[in-house]
Amino acid sequence: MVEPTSLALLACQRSANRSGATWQAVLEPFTDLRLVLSDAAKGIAAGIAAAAAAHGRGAEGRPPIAHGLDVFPTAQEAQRALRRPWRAAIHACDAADQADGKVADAKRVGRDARTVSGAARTARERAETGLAELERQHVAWQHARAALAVFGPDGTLNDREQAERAIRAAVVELTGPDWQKTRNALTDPRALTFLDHLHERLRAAVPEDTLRTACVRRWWLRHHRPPANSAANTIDDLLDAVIRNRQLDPAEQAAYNQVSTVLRTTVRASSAVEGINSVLRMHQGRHRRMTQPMLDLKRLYWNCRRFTTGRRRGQSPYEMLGVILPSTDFWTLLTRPLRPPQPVSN
Amino acid sequence: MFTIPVTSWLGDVAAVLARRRGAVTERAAAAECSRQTVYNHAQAIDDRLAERDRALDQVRAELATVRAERDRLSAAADRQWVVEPDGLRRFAVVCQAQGVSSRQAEELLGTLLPTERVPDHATLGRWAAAAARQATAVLAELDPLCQASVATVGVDEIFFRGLRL
Repeated sequence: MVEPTSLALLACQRSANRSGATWQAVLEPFTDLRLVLSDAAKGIAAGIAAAAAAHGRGAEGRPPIAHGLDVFPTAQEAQRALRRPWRAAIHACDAADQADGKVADAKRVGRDARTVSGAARTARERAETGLAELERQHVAWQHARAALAVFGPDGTLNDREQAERAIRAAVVELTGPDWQKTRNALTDPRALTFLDHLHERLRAAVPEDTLRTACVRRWWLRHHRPPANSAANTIDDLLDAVIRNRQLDPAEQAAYNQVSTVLRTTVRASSAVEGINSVLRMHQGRHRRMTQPMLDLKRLYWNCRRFTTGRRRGQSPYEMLGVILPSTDFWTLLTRPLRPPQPVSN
Repeated sequence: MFTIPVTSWLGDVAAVLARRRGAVTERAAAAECSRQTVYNHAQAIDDRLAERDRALDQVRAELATVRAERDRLSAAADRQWVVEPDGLRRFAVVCQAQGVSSRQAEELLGTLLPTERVPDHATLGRWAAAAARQATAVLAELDPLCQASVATVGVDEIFFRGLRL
């Protein structure tokens, strides 16, 4: 279990099964959880529901625990589904090229090329059909993928209604058994939970609609749009330039900072967990046995180690999480524990 | 050597070195000894001073040798690093935390330390296992500090030699 912004590894438990009860036990200590991102594993969903019920979440004014589907496996599955039409199109193109070669050979030596020309024409038609099919599926998937983004291409903030409409239009084109898993993931209501969560957090951060919209637009202009390299020549460009560069008063700046924090910490994918998993899989190959204490050692080390690259550079997960410790040095924490003085020794 | 007072010896030497006519004779008369004795005393002092100069040169040479040795050792010390008492233990624990096996850690240490100072992989493993137990205790204290403040998490499960994580 990973906190995506800080990459803090909050739980790493060896267990004999992956049932709802197991996940409930892992999730229950997290009393303030608002969003859990995962793949479509049934055990995780059951665990989240059980943990929420145990804490009385979703009732008596207590916010529910939202369960969002990870975008990453959906994209991965779509790439897998696209491989088949891609291979078919490539194969058909190769066949068409070979048939064209035969026609050219026949014409060069002065043979009757009518038979091979017919075959070449058929092969070319097949290649064009294959390419058209590939393009159709690819474009449909690109539309579906865009529906899973936080911002639209024009910088407007995506929402569930808009995304569902785009997904409904896209899945009509994504037919066949290869797309079954992708269709299921796209049409699962949990796929767009991150958008609900995002809008909820934005509304809580800046309740005033106009100010919130302006802040979101300013953030998008500053983070997503390439810097203007030519003079603004339309009214829209001029307006955008004003929104992007205008000096804000303290109240506006505070609202912008809030919006910026929300947008920076919005996560759609549990790719952080995938990253940790890849580290653990690397360890798996090196250790004959992986005990729970050894997992704990790795977890403590990970959380105390400062990142050396990327936007988290110079900070450890614990520091980013805001945990106040006497020391974030791994060895110091290990050899001088917080409460029970148990020196490391053999 | 000095069975007679030093001042008397020095008087003899002064008389010889003054090179004034009659000075040695006057000194011999005053000291109630022969002129040869005065000359002998002057020569003895001269020999003694020469001997001291030789000893001094020898000491200076030894000092230069010692200084050169000190500089050599100091330069060698600058190129070396000291493994602190728990340095090896820390190395073993960090290796395991980073996914380096204890046998690999043993080999890595072997490239830096004399063979007799390299702990075997079993010892490294024991140190790491003890630290792992300690990590469990530390996390039992730290986890509650994190759990209360976390609002969003990503979860996943992987298979690990038949078990799930």
